[in-house]
Amino acid sequence: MHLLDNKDRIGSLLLLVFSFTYLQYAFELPIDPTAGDESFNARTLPIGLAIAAIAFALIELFFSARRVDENRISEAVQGFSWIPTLSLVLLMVVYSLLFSKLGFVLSSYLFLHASFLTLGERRIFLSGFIAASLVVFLWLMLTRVFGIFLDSGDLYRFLFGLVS
Amino acid sequence: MIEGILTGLYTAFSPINLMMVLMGCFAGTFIGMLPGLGPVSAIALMIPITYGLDPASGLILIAGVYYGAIFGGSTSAILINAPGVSGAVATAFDGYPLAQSGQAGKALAIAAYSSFSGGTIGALLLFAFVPFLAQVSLSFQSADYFALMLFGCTAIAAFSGKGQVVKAILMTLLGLMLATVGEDPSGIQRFTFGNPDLYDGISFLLLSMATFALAEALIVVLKGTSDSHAASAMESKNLGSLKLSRQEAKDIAPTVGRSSILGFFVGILPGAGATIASFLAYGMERNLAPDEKKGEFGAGSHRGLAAPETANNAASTGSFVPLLTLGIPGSATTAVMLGALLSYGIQPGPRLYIDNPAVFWSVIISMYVGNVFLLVLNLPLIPYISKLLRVSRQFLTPIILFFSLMGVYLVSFNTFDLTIMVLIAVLAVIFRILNYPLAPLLLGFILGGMLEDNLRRALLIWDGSFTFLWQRPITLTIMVITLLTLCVPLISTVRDSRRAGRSDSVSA
Repeated sequence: MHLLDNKDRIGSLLLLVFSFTYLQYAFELPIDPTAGDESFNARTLPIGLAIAAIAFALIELFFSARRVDENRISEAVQGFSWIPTLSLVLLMVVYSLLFSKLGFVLSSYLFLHASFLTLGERRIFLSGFIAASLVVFLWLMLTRVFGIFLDSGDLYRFLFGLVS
Repeated sequence: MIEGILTGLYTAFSPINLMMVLMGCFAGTFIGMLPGLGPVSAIALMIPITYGLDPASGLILIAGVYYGAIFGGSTSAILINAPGVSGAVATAFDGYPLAQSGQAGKALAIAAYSSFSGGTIGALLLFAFVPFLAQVSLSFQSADYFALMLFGCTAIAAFSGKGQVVKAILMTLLGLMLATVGEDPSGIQRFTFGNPDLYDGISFLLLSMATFALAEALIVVLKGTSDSHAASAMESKNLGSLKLSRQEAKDIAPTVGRSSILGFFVGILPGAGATIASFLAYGMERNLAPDEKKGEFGAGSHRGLAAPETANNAASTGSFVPLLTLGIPGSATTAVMLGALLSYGIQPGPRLYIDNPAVFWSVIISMYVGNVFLLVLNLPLIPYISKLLRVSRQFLTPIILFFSLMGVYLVSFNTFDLTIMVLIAVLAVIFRILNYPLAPLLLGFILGGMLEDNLRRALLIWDGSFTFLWQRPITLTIMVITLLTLCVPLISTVRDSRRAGRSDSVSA
């Protein structure tokens, strides 16, 4: 485990794995049948990039092996607030998934209010009011002033049988 | 050229565009003051708004945001020792001690006057150099452009700091790889995995918002930076007088002149940018200072504050030279601007000067107008703008996340983009923790398409042979510079690593 407790090594390993996977897919890319034996096709650049990335990832891995005790991840991440950060990431994913179901207004309000609470805001009514005001203001600006269509969501259409 | 300048003046001084500069400077100052959010994030947040504007107005707004963010970054560096941007780190060396000694107003005034002077001299140099360079680069062919794109990619990596060269190259390559997602010019789908949402590739806006705005906001939460310190520091600070005496102005004048020229030329170098310029200017001034003044550096020296502030603004102006003349961004910020230009259907480069004189000249003139606005309006407003920093981070961070997500959604109207954006932001946070720079990723991504197009065209012209790399004198010259730019820092990295290895074995 100690071997992997190094920022440079983990980073280069991640990029090495990514580059090998990318190279494998690059070799499987189709080639335009009308291109004949042209020297440049859809695979040329991706293969070149992947080979270069593999080479540089190996160089970085080699250098990081010499820097044994530097750049420890375990030290760098000490004191990080993982729970609120991961909660925010989760909230953003849920927001993106619920957007078309609940529509702009409801999903945005829920996202903002939940995010305020996640970051430690305890004044529920104040945070709810700020979230609602911001969303309604933005909705009015975008739909009424700029004339932009915003999805009202499946729920709205189901409840009111309307297509906005 | 005169006709172009007049068109640019007419466009820049139209009421709507003056309002754009004003709005941009104001929004940029506020965003730049927030520790963690720099000009790239500020511009990325503004791009969705600019889509509803004509290209000249959009770019003018972006230029205003850029300057405002740099000014805002310096303000937080001086007032609370928290530089909003890396280019303002050297500003804090002497700005913060001045603020602590009750001269915050004077420090802000020196920063504002120096920035204004740096921006003015930079804009004049830009005015003189850009048309000349644009004329020269008109003779460039695809082969030369391919070499230039390679130079752009390697230069930002080479200037990325000690121990970071290989990492920056890897991130540039990752950006280039991400740029290959989607349909290639021959109509072949690459790395789309049959998902129609990926047929058009990853949008530049999505990538820039995810890697900068979203990732920066998440990093702030992750590090648990308390805003109470900033708020209380801001509240307790008595700004004092914003005036400079004649003697003080006279004292910093030579510094401003020297740092402007140094900053501008450092800014032209792709990848060097405002940070390197500000440190170089600070170092130069400390070396040039008489012995009795040297001790003041780091303890509240006026020259020590004026030098980096002048240089970072002049460098920001200089970084527009490669963008406007060659179509190659010299920094992460100009990379985002290049992306914005491309999304307007405008191809930056030597033809921009001929095909779109209104855009070309109005952007240059607006940069200067932006500097004037910052000086005349923002400086007196600083005490009030700084009050906005008291808005609790519990509210501010989710709002930034929300605007970032909405910014991308309002362009594509596709919720799949939001999911991809969150995924990229998480990866960006991981790379930030691992000390991998993100600016080269964005640069590689933006240059990727152009690099492939020019390589394809060059190979077609040269019958599939790579001999164009050494048979055309311009291409050969650029390739030699590229190889030198890449090899010199790589060799020094190898040497450092060997030295470290040797000292490890000695100590063992």
